[in-house]
Amino acid sequence: MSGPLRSLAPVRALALVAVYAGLLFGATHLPTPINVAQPTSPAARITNHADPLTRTRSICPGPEALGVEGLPGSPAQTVSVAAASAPVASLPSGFVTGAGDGSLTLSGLPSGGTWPAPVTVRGQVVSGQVSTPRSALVAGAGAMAPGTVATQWSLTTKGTSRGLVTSACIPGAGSSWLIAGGAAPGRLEHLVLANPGPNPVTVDVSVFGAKGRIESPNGQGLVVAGYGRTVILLDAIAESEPSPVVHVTARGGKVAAVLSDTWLDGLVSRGGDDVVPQAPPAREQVIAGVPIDGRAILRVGVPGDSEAVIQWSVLTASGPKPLPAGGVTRVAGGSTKDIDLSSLPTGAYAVQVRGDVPVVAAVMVERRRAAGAASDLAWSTASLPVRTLAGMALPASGAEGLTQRLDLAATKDPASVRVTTVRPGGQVSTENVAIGADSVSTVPLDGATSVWVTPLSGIVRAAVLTSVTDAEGVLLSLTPLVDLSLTATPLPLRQLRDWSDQAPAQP
Amino acid sequence: MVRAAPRPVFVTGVLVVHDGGAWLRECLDALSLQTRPLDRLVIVDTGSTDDSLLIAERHARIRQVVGDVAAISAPHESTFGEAVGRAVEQMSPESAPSQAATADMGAGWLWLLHDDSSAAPQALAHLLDAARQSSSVGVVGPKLVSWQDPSRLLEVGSVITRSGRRVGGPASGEPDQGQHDHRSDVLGVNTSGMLIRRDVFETLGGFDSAFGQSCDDLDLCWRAQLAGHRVIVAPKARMREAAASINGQRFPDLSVDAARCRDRRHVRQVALARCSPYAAPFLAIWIAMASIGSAAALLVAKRPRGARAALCDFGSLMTPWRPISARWRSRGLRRVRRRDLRGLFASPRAGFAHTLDTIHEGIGGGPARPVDDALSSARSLESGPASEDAESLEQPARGADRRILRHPGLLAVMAAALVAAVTWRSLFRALVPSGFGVAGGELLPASSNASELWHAWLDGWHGAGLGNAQEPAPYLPVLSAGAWVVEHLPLIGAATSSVGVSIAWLLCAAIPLSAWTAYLGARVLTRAPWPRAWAALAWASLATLTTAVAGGRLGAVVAHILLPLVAAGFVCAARRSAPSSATFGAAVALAVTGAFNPALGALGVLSAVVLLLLGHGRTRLHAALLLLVPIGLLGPWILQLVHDPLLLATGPGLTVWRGATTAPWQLALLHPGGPGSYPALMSAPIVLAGVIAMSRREVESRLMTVLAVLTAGGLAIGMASPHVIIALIPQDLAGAGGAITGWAGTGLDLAALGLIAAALRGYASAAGQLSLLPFGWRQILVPGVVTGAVLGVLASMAMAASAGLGDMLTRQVPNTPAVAADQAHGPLGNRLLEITRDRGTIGYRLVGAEPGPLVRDLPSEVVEQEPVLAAAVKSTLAAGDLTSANAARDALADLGVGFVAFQGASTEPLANQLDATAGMTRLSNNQGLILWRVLPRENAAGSSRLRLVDAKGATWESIAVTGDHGRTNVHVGPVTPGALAEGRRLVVAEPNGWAEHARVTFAGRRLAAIAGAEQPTYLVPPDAGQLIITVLPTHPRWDWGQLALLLAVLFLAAPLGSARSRRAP
Repeated sequence: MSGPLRSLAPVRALALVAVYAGLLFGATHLPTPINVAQPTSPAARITNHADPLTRTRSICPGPEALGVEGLPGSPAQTVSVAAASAPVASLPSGFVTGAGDGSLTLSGLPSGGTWPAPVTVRGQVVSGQVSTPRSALVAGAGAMAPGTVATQWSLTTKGTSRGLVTSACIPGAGSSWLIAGGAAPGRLEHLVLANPGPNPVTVDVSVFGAKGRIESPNGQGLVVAGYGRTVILLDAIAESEPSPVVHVTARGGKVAAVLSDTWLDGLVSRGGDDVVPQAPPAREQVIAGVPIDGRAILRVGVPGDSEAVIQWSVLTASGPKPLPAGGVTRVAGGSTKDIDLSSLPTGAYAVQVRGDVPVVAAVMVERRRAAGAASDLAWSTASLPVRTLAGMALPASGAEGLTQRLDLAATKDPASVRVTTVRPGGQVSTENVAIGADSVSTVPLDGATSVWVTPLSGIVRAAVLTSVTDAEGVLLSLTPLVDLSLTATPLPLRQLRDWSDQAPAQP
Repeated sequence: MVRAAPRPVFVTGVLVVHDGGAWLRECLDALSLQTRPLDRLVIVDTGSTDDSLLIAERHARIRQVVGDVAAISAPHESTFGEAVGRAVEQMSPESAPSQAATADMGAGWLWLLHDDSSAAPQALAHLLDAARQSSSVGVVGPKLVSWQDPSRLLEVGSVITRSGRRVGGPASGEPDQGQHDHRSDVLGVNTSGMLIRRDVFETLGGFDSAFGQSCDDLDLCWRAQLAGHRVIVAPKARMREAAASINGQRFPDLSVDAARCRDRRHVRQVALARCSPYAAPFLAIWIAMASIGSAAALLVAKRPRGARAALCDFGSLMTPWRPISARWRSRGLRRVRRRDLRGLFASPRAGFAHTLDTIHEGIGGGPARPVDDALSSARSLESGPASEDAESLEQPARGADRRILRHPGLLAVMAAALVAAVTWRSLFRALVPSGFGVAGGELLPASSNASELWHAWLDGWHGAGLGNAQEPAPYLPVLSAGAWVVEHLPLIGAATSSVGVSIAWLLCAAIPLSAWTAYLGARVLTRAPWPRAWAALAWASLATLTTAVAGGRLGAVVAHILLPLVAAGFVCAARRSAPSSATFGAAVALAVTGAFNPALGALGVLSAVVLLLLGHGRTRLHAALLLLVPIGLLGPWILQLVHDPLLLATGPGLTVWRGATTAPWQLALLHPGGPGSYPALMSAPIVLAGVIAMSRREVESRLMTVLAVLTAGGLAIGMASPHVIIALIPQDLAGAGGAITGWAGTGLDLAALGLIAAALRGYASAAGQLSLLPFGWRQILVPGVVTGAVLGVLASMAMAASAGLGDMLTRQVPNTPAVAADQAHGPLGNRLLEITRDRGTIGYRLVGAEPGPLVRDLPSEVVEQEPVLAAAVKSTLAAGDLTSANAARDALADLGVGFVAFQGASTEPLANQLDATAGMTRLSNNQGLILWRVLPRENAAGSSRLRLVDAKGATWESIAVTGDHGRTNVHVGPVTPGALAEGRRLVVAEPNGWAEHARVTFAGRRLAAIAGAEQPTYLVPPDAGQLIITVLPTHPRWDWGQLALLLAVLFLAAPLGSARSRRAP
């Protein structure tokens, strides 16, 4: 501590104060931060590339009346299953199937039964028959997987079970909305639940009715064994409900749910039809393929709790047609309503339903020559627009008087589609069809083994009407076409850091 | 008054002379003054080279008193015992006058005399008196006192334990107050002044040469006892003794230590030679154990000389032929049972107590004793030098409790603890030992124990998920040690996550701990306790600490606690008087600081380099220690820093991600911002006090300049930190591309250290100095600044306490379902696959028992995708395929995945898909977390880390693990006949990289991994054997070196053992 050093003291303090001031000034006025970070390599971009499907599986319900839980002994029933892969001509331009071979295989669910050999050629139909209580599993694999469809159908012209039933085969789902059935005496609704997975699935069935939601313990906690099938009667849950809408939810897996509606009025067969899950609840539903010739009803269900204001209209070949009553009604939340469309003149229609809350909708049409005569009914449900490809393996054309027709409906804008048909010999023919805005168009399909709709422009929905006309009258069935996804976009997988979910919060 | 001894007893004095010129004259004078003169004196010269012979020849008086004085000579190398033996041999039988009267006392007596002793005039009379008490007395010894100071005791007979340990004798320099005069029968007496019956001497065969110069007396007496002759001490007979042979005055080449050591060794050998032959082996074992044990204990207590002396005992076992031959020579002499001598030995407890005393002295609480005579210190263990602390402890302890309660340091720590308690009011529940601690802010959820964390650092393959071989963070062992302590606390019980709990406790205790270290460290600046208490509270209530705690910035918290000690260590090292232990302590503290806060560690090392260049002598040595010890302790991790210098700017919890900027003026007031902040103006008085203190001329200038530089540098670092982007948030994390900057608090902490130190230094002595100066502006300014500083600190404490922790830290809740966590830590050691869905991607992560990172640090660029894991996840998420129903299960089981969890609503399609995956069953759906169990394979209890498979890959058996990443030690049975004909294989559910770091041994033989296998696979022989799997450290030699260095440095840093270190700051 010498003299000269002592005198440094104030200088030292002043220097410190100067540093203080300088730092404050610098920190306040420094324009941009200095970046000494090491340049990072560009992140591996997560590309949403779509791969052709290599595996599709759809489930056909099988004989609906067989194997009903708690019902010993049931009548013999046989259904036919036909499956096909889209011919190359129908595939959207630019789509290339995966390399290598593929196959289309039929098998039983639960396993068993005798099945034809798998086909490996696109467009070729493979068909089989089921007469035991099991579903049919249609599995497309490899290059045959994209664009696989299958149809289950049965035609009975004699006796009390007279009727024509077609049903598209569907993949399993976690949630399914089904609309069919009624309260008339002799009307039965079989709900077929098939589990394509290995693990048991717990299914809850809830029914919405005209007076609201029907709570029943019988519909809760139904267990469908792995690779198993369960059939229940809707009456066990909602007896004598005049306009049921069924919601099936699966826990612990997926389930393919099909609702079969059959009606035997005393000894008079009133026909029947199968419905597959329709488009999920939405504020707009369009039902394509509504061939009205006699009685027809539109059934609307409101799944939510709030009341819906519903407006409906019909589309015809010449555009939308105004309805006499204005086409507006109210439906209480959680309930359903049947709207009579029987007054419409005979013709091909599509029905458009709009609600201020999400709704579900379907149309039932009936054919009856005279009161007291046998009749048939068909359900057409709301479907989603065909975006990529839709198709149907058509029932074998051996039956006499069988006609088939493709009903197309375009909404909002004019649309055009390419319709591809495959003949029994394997000939493929295509035809471009234009549909006006908010109108419908029909394409006859007689003699084809499968039909494919490839949208070119616009918003198009499609359904196939199958009918058989014989001495006792007309049998018919409606099958809406469901958009097929040809590709799978695998969700990108990302290995997480040990602490990536700990995004730092800052004050 | 002693009556004159009657003549009938014939006493022959045997005086052995060996270069004893310095004492011989006095010795002969004393002999000639005996009230009962000797009957005969034999002077044995063992080749003296000094004037001893001349003195003996010319001493006329002794020849007057003792008529018969003979002088004989013996070889130069003769021991005392040999010289006496030669004298007795050449001695004629006792002269006639006594023949008749010796019936009750034997033929005659020998009085053995050293040339460096001086007998009191009545010594021989008293000895003969004692001898006369009983005819069974064979040996009598006098009380030996110091030559220089006859009021101090040397020896009053020998007291040893049965195992041959000297105890209970007069301690070195013990004043003679007659406290040992009650002694009579003893095991042995010293040769100096030993009166022994000639026939006893001859019967016993004289001294045994096996024990050389020392302890032959003890051996002779022990043998006399065994032969039925009593050995007594006559305390009334006093002799002064110089002990020249032992304290180096006679043999300059024999050091005091060596003499001590030889004595200890020989006492043990005597015990070995004279104990029961059956007990001898056990005694030998006991001596070995006790010797090593006490040496270790004394070494820990920093009594290296004591430890070396204890090791001398071990040397007694090195020459086993000595006791054996001695035993052989004395065969057939024993007349009494050994157990009859029981009363002569000290209890073993006394020996143990002696060691404890020595250790206690080392720690500094022992009684003070001046070192006096070498003989006595040779006969007891080394004693510590006097210390001021020790003396103060001997003062009456009246009012001690009151003094403690008024101790400013203690009060400061208590106040800081109160602040911490109030601050943590919202999170008290997070501190329960059975919980998981805290998480949030920079702290990541952690649930592991000390062992897992230790292996995460040590093992070459470590880390969460499938693991990795990256260099582990250097602070893990420190946290592991903390967790180990938490696990072993009594009454606390086993913690579920001892690591989480110990971190929570550390954060909670950070404020009082900082106050404590600051109080300790401030001692290098001033000894005044109250200013130090102020500095402690100022340091503990800084916003840099409160925000670090509230933000979970572990590295900053630890650095803040240790910084005062490191700084004090540097100040000490810069002063030449620094004690080494302080430097070693500072070096350890610097190493720990560097592990938690690399920037501060680097600055410390840099300072050490500066000190090394500028310092002199001892300072350079200390600087070198401060430089090399932290580098050595941090080991290979240093190379990481060399590889990526940016790591220096970060550390555990020392980064700011997408930081909200704190205003520069707040930074300048030492407030880095964030939760735990309080109004920045509260710190202004500290800053002002520091700056003004630096302008004072009255205080040491150089230190102030260093502090000013420290402050300016710290401020510059702190204020620049938010403006320097050190990394960008990687693409796979939230806020990708955002800036990551260093935390400003690191630099601000340094600035605060400088300012507080300056203020402390500047004002601690202000009161005294002010009174010397004429009244002026100083008398007004200084009290004002001091008052302001005190009020500022008090206000800061209050505000920090009321501000609390903010909402960043939360009580940690287990982040994995209990069943999965349970099985992860169990013998299966299986993992949990966590799947989340966000932003159009599916995220997945593997969670096992292994701990991941504990605190957020600089992120590595992008996580490397594990192809095996990605494939397993892909097959899990693809809906069940009929053709290979168990593909997903097998892929998961291969990786040891026992559970799959999905975070999200059960209505998510992904949940549905997982439900449909074959081989998995849903277990629960709890609070948005759906859990599936992966079904076990055939023959397996569940997915496991280790499994035995046959040649086709079918699982045969699950093998239990006992540690992380497949470590195990289990018995594996033989192959049952007929099964596994083609050989069984061990498959380890770890990636292939693991095999390079693992050692798999079966029945003692190392197994090599099968090349080309998808996973580490080993061919296991068909017979039974022990399967041991260990994961090897990456740098085993380094690790051992680090451990050795740590132990050595800790040992040297312990403030024990020397007065110097106790006086250190």
